Amino acid sequence: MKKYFPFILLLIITACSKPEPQKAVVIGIEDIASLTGDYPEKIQVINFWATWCKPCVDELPAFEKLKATYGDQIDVILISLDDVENLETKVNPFLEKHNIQSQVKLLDYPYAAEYIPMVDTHWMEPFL
Amino acid sequence: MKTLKILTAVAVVALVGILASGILNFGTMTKEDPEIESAINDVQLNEQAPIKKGYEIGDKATDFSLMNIDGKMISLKDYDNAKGFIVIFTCNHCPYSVAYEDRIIALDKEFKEQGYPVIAINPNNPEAYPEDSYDNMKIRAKEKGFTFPYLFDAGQKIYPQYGATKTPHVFLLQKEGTSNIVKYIGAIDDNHKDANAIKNDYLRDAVTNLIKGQEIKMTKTVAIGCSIKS
Repeated sequence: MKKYFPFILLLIITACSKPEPQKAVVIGIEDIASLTGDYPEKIQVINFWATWCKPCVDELPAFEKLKATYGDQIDVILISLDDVENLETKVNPFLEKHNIQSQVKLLDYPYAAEYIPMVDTHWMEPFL
Repeated sequence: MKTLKILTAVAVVALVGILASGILNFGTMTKEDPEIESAINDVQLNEQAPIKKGYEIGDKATDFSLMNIDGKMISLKDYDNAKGFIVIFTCNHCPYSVAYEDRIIALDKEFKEQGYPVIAINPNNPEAYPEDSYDNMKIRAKEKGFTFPYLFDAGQKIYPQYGATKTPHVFLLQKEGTSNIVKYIGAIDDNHKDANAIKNDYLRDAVTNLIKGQEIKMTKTVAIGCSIKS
């Protein structure tokens, strides 16, 4: 029995280190300001999405691949625009189902016209 | 150096769109990677020359003949007594559109009598979103008791002419002779989630200004919603 102990230990460690899917952290507009205002050492890839947005969901694998490939060099941050009421009923179950490994935040702030220019003024250009 | 870092960060954020569309097959990321370089150059080109489509304020909006949920064809020229139109591209499937349904009904009730009826147009391709099919439009209009026409942009010919990109996306028109001139483009208001917590009531203010013969302060706002799918 004793000689199997290291293997069992290894098994436990392996099982524990299996990456868990992310849970969404609720943020407000002040967090957008700090995310986009202070440039960190690492490059940040910020993607806005929502569980109900089909094209956004379709592109998530590309962001996950980016995270898997360059995760040690860059931060991939997925900002959900789902309603905060759906955090436990839709967003977190979605993250679990799709085993999302990138950081996920849920922006609980409805005034998009205020945070859009904080992210990138080019976001508005096609409409203005 | 910090500027360089900022530029790189911005470029990478923009790059992701391109990566997502299928160039994600390069090996390890190095600064010399020619594929990355060329992609960054493409991005910069795009940023320098944004493609302009659709109407600007003051443009003449096209009329159309689109099928309403009752099977009848509707054109703007049919409305002899209208002073203008609140044209709203909207749909069934988008949560933003759904969030605005009651407000669109209220706008129609408020302004139809004053000469500015709501004309709602579903611009989506039902093959991309089955929820936006003509049959489902009829169902939703009945459920919600739409007081305005809800037209189907069959073949998606009209929305690109207007330059609608989102649902909901508003084009406020004013009749001048036989023309309909674009007076406001953008969002209904600034809070899709809570009608009681609106800070800027863009569309209502614009229509009110038109009715009173005043200048519209905000003629363009960013439409927030779901992308229209072709």
